[in-house]
Amino acid sequence: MPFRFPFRFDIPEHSYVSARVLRDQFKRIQYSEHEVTRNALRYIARNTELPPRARLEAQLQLTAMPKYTSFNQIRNRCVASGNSKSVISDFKLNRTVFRDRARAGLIPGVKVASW
Amino acid sequence: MVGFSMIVRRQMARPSMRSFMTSSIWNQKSETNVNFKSPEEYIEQQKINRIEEQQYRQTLLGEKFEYNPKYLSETKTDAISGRPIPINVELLKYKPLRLEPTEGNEIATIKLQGYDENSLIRAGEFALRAAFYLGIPTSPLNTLKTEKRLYTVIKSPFAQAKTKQNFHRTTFKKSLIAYDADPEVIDLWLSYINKYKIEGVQYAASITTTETLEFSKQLENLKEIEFPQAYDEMNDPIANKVKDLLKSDTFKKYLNESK
Repeated sequence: MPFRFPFRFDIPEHSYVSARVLRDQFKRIQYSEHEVTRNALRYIARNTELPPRARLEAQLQLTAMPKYTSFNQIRNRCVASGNSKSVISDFKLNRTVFRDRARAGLIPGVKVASW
Repeated sequence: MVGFSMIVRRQMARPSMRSFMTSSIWNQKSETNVNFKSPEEYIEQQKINRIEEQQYRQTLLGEKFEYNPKYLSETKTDAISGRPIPINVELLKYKPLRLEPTEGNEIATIKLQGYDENSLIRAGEFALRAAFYLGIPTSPLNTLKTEKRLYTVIKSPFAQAKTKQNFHRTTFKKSLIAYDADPEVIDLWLSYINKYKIEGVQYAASITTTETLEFSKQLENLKEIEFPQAYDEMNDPIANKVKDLLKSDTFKKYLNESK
């Protein structure tokens, strides 16, 4: 069976693994690899002191890059369940996993609040 | 670091700063890895320990050890041992003693953070007591603003989204200031605190050091740096990439065109 992604990468070790988590992991790795190039091209494209054709060329190169190299393709996912909805970023946990763990006293400092 | 930032103070006569912090909340050290020894290493360690123990016992036997503890009240005795309580043990029941600052120059600030206030007080009072016996004047243990963060989640895993449950995390903060001490004593104090740090408390220290009044002259005498050359040794990867791109053939022709 051919490899599903254009490039090979390591499976994340410290989180729940599913197809969607792997897809996100791939995008994260690709973004970190191309971050410097993207920012350099963006700098050239937005620098008004450079000639317009050079700026246009930079913008064209930027749009020609694959979509998985851009930051806005990355979505925070729950480390314990792989869910992408209502992830609490302080703990990197989905609301249900967070609630279970908080009620069990597994998250330091978090208590049930009542007032 | 996650969320917490160091305090940055600037004073005219004190331009340089050093700082360090422990982050025992976030990076609790895994004891299994640290203490792991192969059998040979373990045997060697045991041998060294035995020799050290023997040497220690010999020194104890060689000199006559005098034990003259000071007492707050000699008539009061400890119920279990039947002996009077030494003054340093007795003083643990009271608020830590402090030395008053003579000059009032702030030398070091320790900031403590944690989710348990009792362990914060324990850590802070330990630091204050250590400072007293090292002769460092300090401020009392100040309480800073506690931070309460509320998390409201839907109670059920599916549907009934109107029923919520609230959780909160309280972060307590304390600070103490050391005055007028020599930097060597401050280093000794901080390393002692670092050695006996408590798990679950985040320590952050910012140290202010003094420079001579001729410091500005020293800066002026430094080798002159011209402004455009200042960018030559820059290690910013994006700047280097921009430079490479603009030198490449595709961009070169457009750059030459305009001229």
